Amino acid sequence: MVPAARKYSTVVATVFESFLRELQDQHIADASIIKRLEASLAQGELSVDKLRTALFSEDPLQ
Amino acid sequence: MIRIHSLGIEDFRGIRKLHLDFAGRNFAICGPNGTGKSGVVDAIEFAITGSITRLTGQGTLSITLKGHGPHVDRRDQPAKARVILKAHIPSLDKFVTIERQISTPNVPLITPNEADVIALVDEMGKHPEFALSRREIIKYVVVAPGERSKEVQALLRLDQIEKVRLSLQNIANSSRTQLRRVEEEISQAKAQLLRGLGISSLKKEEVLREANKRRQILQLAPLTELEPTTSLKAGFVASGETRSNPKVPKTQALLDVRALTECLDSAESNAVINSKTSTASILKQLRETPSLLRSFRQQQFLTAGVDLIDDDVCPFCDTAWDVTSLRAHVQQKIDEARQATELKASLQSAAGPLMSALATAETLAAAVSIYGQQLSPPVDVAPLADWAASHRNRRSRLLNLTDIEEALSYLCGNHLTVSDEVKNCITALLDRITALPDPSREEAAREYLTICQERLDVYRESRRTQERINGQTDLAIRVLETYNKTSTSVLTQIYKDVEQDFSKYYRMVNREDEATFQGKLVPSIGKLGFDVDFYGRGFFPPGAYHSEGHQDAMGICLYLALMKHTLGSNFTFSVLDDVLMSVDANHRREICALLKTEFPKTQFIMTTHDPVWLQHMKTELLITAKSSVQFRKWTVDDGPVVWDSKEIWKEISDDLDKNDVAGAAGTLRRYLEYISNHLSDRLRASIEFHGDAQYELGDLLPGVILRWKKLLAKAQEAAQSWGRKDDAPQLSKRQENFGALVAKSQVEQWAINKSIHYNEWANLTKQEFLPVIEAFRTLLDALRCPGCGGLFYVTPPKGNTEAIRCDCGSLNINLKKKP
Repeated sequence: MVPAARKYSTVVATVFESFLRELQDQHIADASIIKRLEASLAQGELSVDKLRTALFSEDPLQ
Repeated sequence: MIRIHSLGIEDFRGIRKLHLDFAGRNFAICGPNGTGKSGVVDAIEFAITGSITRLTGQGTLSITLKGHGPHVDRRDQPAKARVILKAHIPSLDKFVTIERQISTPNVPLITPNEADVIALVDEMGKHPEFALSRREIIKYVVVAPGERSKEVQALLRLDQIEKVRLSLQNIANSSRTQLRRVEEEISQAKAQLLRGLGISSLKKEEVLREANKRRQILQLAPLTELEPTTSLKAGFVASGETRSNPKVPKTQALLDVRALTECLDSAESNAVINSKTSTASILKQLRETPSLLRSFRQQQFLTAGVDLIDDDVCPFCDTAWDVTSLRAHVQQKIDEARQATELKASLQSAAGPLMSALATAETLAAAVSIYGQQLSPPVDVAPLADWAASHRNRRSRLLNLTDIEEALSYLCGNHLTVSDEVKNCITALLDRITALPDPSREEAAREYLTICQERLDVYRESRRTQERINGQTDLAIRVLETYNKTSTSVLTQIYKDVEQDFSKYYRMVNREDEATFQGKLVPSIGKLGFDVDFYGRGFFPPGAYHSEGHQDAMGICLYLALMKHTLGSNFTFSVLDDVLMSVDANHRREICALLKTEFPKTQFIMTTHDPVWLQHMKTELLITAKSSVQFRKWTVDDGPVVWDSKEIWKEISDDLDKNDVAGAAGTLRRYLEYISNHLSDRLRASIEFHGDAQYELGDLLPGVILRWKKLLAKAQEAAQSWGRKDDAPQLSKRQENFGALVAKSQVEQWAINKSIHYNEWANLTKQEFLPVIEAFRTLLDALRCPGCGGLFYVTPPKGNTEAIRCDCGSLNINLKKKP
């Protein structure tokens, strides 16, 4: 379980945690990607850019 | 979050110089209106956030932090106005000192200068919800659901959730747009390939049949399978033709020029006519609603902008803003543009057939233009190329809504009308290509296979791109749907939990008459409904039937429930600024119990103008005797003045030096009232009850003296019962001394001799008043520990008395007799 990172409120951390778990459960993203994102979340550094880069190898906005 | 240990304030708001020791514990600041309590709250907020809400909210247009944050006499020296806050950070187990000056509010001096400490202070600075004033309670309770939703979302910090959602939505939308573009490219590539192959449908058998006909002419082995890598010209030996001198493939060129001519000459299809009509209708709707058009144009700009907001300045104009307010401001505009976004999707869909027809004409024009350049000498195809470019430009302007009138006029005419110049250009091309010598059978076969392979490559590449974008779009949509599903589910559960905690807290406060109370938080898009049970008669908005006092209590209960879920174990600190004005004494006691039992790890700093409320906090053990301060007065020169047992005698003496007997008398009387109030409580004196809770010196001090005498007598009896012969003389001496001091003060004569009553002090001369002062000073000293300076108190605070003690423990007189 991801500890609630201090940069986020408990609510936000819970949403992010559930989201990452669901991505893994639904096989939308590999476990290695989820692990990396969970580490970012734990450090309070899960940014939109990190999500985008990790989930979409080719950035659709570029 | 933090627990505050001390606060130093200098030349800030109405405060000249003040130091408060919170010691990381609950703390109360009490004082009449206008004595500087809220100045302390402002100082805490400023130390943590670098701003003061009261100077930046609504109705403060001409008020600025730098202009009005410093003390009025230091308004030109904002660097002198500073706040120093020392605190403990439980999550890091570190102490931090934050020092801020009004001159540089966004540049705090943080000690230690360590990354984790700075990050925490920075994060706290963005969210000033730790402070709750009565004005702010209202925004959770009696506001429209839309407004409450915004306030609660800000408190729960849901902006981060929305930011991620918007970004994922952008990715999904962008993928869909790319997909539409690629599909159009495929459609054009397919049309070109079919024309090149000379067939009407792209079936494997037909492609192989036509290709093999040409391959047979060239004596190449027939193709038996058409796979993704199959080349129609496999085994083909390239001719001597070079790229710099390409030969125009006559047969194919004639087909393409005729296709362009047919495309331009043909009447508009029904699909195109309908597309133009519905596109024009949407454009007219936008023209007639300027605000919608503005939102439409700004939407993309705003969506990009909200992602760029990371600092306290606008990313576009560099104007200083509070980052949360700026983000909320931009988000509000994006919300307003939602209707425009929906209209944009309708516009794209309506214009689809027209766009497709235009794209076909443009593709043909581009292909034909190339033949013109390949001819020797070349044909001037500039008019045709210009026509195609102009269409491309107008097509893009049509959807970007650069000029609505121009777009409408464009839709009125035949979209493929060409000028005579363009017509002549096409005719010239046709003539020149027709005049080319006919290719031999082999040459025609070679041209056929070359062109068809080129077009097949383009088609295959488009399909590969489509496949990639399809996968990307599918992923983006699944990610977005998963995010929406999980965030909705988590938020629904959190609102449920907040609702339960809120109801529980409110029941604790109102257990006597609302023991079955329930509150309901009903989230919907952009709104948060809030209804409460009214004595089992149904659910209504809080302001419908409940009293103002009940609404205040609801506000604090909802705030506490939200903070618990916002910060969890990090809810270590909160400022409650005069929040329970309308709540009666009994319910205040329950609120004390609520804070103490449900939030034992949270430090509450509370302000109140009501000394009775302060007393409740003490008797309910929410605060200790030491963890409060009472402001007795405020002056513009000195700011809040605290009752200080050492300073007070100097102040009285200074007044007398100035021959201000009335001033000295007034100060002595107010101090004696203040100290008698404390002594009454600490010694558990019997004071005649007043319904209005207003007690004068004459109501309090005689009762205190009588109580102290009785306590000493009781102590004497207890000592004798235990046979403690050594204690008896000491107690007797204490009784004797005290009696003499009381006699000197003449307190016991007040009721029977008006001439020595404190009301007459102001009429005395300086010489006459000096002994009065001395008498009371020594009298009070007898009730105070010479070691720690604290007033004596009786323990326990309720029930049978057991002992007289002082804060440092150096005095402990037994009151219990031997059984």
